[in-house]
Amino acid sequence: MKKTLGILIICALMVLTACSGNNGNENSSNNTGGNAAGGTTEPADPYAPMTETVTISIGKEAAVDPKLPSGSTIEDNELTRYFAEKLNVKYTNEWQATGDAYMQKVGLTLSTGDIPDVMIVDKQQLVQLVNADLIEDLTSTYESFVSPALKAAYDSTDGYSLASATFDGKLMAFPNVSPGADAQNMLWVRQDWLDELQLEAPQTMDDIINVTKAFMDKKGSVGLLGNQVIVNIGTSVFGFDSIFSAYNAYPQLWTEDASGNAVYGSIQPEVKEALAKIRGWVQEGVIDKEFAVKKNEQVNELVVSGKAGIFFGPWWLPFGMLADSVAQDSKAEWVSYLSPLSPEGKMNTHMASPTTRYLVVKKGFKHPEAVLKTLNMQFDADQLQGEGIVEKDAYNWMNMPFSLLLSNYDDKEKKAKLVQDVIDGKANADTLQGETKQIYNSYLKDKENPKKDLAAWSQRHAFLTGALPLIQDEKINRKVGIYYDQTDTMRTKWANLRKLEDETFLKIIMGNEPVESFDSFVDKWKSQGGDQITKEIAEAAK
Amino acid sequence: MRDSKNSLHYHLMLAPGMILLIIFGIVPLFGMAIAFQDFIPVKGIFGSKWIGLENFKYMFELDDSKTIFFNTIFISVMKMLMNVLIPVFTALLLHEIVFNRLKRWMQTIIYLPHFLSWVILAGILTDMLSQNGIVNQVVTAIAGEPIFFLGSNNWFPVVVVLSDVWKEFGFNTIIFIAALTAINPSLYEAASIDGAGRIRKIWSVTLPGILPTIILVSTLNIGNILNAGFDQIYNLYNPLVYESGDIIDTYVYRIGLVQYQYGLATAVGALKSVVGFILIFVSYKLASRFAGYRIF
Amino acid sequence: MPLTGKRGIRTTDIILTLVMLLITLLCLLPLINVVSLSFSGKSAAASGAVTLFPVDFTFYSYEYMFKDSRFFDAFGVSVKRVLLGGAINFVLTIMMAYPLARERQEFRGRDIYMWVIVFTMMFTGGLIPWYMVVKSLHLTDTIWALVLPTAVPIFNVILLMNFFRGLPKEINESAKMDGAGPWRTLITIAVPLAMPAIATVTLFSIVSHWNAFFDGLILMNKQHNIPLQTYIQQLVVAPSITSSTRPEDLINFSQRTFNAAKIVVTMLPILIIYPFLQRYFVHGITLGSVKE
Repeated sequence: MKKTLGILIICALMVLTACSGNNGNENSSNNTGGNAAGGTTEPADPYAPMTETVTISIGKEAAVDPKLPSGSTIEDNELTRYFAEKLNVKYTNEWQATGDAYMQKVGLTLSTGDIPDVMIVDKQQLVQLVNADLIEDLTSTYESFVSPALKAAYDSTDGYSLASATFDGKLMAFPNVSPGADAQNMLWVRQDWLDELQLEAPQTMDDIINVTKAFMDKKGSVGLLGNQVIVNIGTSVFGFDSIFSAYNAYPQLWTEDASGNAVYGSIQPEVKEALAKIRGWVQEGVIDKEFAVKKNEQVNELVVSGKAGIFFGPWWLPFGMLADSVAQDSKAEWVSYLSPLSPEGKMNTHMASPTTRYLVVKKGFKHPEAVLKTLNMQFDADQLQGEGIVEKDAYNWMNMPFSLLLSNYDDKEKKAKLVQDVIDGKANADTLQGETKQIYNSYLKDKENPKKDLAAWSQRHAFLTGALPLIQDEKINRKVGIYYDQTDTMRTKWANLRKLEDETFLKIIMGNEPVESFDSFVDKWKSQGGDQITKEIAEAAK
Repeated sequence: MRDSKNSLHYHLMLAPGMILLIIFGIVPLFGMAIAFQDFIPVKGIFGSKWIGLENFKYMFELDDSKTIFFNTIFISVMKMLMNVLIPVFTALLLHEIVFNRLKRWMQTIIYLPHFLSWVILAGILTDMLSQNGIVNQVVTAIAGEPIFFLGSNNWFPVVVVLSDVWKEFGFNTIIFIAALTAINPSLYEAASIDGAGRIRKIWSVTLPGILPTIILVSTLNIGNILNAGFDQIYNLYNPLVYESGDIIDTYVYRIGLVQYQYGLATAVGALKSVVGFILIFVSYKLASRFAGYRIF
Repeated sequence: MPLTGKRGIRTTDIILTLVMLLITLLCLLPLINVVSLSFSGKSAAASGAVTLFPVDFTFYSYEYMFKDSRFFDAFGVSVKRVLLGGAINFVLTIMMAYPLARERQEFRGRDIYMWVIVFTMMFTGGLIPWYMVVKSLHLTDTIWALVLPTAVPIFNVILLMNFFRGLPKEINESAKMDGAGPWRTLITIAVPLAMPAIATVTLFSIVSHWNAFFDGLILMNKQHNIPLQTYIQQLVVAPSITSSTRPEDLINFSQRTFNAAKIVVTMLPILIIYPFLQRYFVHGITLGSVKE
């Protein structure tokens, strides 16, 4: 706390000197005076325009956006023009790429040394840049210029995000914050089938199996769907994550045991129990064994073509294949449940790391505050979904200057709740703005003409069906990992350990190997580097 | 005298291409140094730590490096054989077709699968090979039991090789067709006069005529012995068939998911190049000794 | 053709044709599937309902590609690339293959060149040094970055060289008698005779220029400089989920129909050029005027 105060004071001083420096150089004291209307003793106005035009070159992560009207590009569109004007900043994209290609470009710029003023890197690259002393210390910039809204977003991860970008007490990057909802899987069910067969909403794993069987018998559907990647902490569609966690097993998650030691989820005895269960269902045919050889796209087919009515997945599925499913069969009613419940009556779920990307500022860049101010505005603009800024262009957050995803950790479920309160008459529609207003409008539109406008249907159901249940904190037991990064030994051993794990688990599930092979897997895992890695993680997570 | 004067022109003809090759092919080879480094991009090639043969050792010290190498070589050798046999067969067959317009159409169409991406093809294949897919309907009718093609370590390599041949045979066929046009027609006339039938002509005129091209294509293929086809396998495999389908490239890819390992990736590339180059050299020597034909 | 002469069509011909038709059909069906997919509605495609005919026929996938004016920029870059790169490939392939086809007695140093070339074919320094070279020559963001590093297609050179070798030796001898130098012999005699092989390698080189997307991705920074396949690649490759994207962004990408449309675009030039080039597969040495 003392440290923070000290930093704050230093920052304030620095800002003052910076301002006076500008005044001296530029004869623009009037301008600065105008900006400081908020009062001179305040740290700084997080939205004040720069006194002189600042140019920021960006390594831009973005795909081609063909939805932009002609005349607008990723580099120059209504959003970037708005930011440029408001902040007196010129944004130029040094280069642009998406997906794997983006990371390759970053790797190339790192190795040739001509890094742009701003780019977004992953943890490993961040560590490299810090060690090589190529990026700016952003501590003081953050303390002085962060907007209250953005600060609240960072605080919503209990300090995790900022901590992961902090080295020796210095904030070296602005981390992203992804919504926590993404990692929490729920049970998605065809409600129309449930109703038709007069079945109760499934609560326990046994219920789920019974419903699946009923769907198979009466609706001719395939069984419970699966994914050949059986567990994925980040984003899992069709995965068995929920089954494992129902048995208190958290494969792939680094957690603490009862006595506070770091342990790896995949080698705990609960996993064996869950594997045996899943194996039984595959043998019974309740889980379609084809999942092991299919990619997600092919499994989607089953959902869209009405051959599947029950599976696990995240809140946003209505945006994807569920919309296709409704397009194919307007009778389809998809509902998500917090299920399976553990004996304690809660749904267990793993949580992903809220931060995986870091915005770094090149060492020597004169105005890091221009970067943070942009982020302040990006956060607000995104909350409003571009309302008041975007007129002709369709809003796409990637068209803002920096492709850093910033959101509140509980963004989705909170927004869903706000809208639901209005629907329930507990709040006034005037309280909604930006994205919540959009959701509400989608709700009204879809209520009026159900399933006519699929975009409205998607938004309505993603939030009000998918995300809303997640607001019930009392019904969810969220297991947060103690460590999400990579240790040194992982660098050489992890691919091998992961192969061992994936192979063993899938083979057990498919009945190619006995359940007991889990035990020898654990031994092998430990001896082939697992123990070493566990030690490192215990050390790192302290 | 005359010859040496010609030689000068030959050097001149080669010069532009050679200069470009040296700039874009030879100069970047200094980058192979990365294979001996713990390469960290921000430090560059000159600043990264030298670790000797560590990266190579790592490759061979993996628990299942034996399986991975075996899979890679097995799959690529099978592909190599099939990718010569089938195209030669197809070229000969096409050569015998007398309906010219049809022939041209067929020639174009068989080339086209080459342009399909494995992402799309994998989708088509998974559908065809699923439990109630078209292939298994036939299998069930004959054998009674469907085969779990993509989940069985016996069948997976077969699927990989056959689907690759299906995708690429048209491409190689073109080369052989071009080679067929080089056969002197008087040889056929002579054979006809000798009373040779269709088969005899193929055996004694056509095949010898394209033999150099067969040797050439085979030799160049041999250089790819450690490339078993990343895109294809990545899109088709799953942990059940790691045992028979995990190849060097897919394995390295999964390591890269954990952490970019530029050093290791370069070492793998270097290993592939060295092995490929040696094999090409050896088969070149063998071909020139036994078939009397030098392809380079 | 050499076999038919004036004899009539026999049963064997019919059988062979039928076999070949079957093989062709085996290639054609998945192609038809892909074309149908590219003209199908998103949800129909996602349901797996599309087999040999489009379901919910729509041009949407193509519109999505063509809508943006940058499509035409990218198309222009690609055309430029194919013309320039193809021409460079064409000239250099011939100019390199011909001297390399000489006997070593006739052209000392030939073997050294040859093994340097084979060596270059087999060894690469990897992405980073290659990028550094191109960058240090200030080629990035110019069309030259796309055509110079790929100027010598080695596989094609070796292919054509072997073809040149197969030409009767007497041809060169007679040219020499006529007092033709190497350049004239190459242009007036060797090239016309090698047309089938030249057509083949030209096809390969056009195809690879048209379809290359990776170098455009790495070497081009400004969006108006990227070639078509790079543009389409960026269009159809969804941002990877691991990066800082939102899952809901992914729905903009109906992988299936776009991927299919992309492949159709990939194949187009081949469908246009190949039948034209096929003329050369028929003639070639059978013209045989030189023999006289």
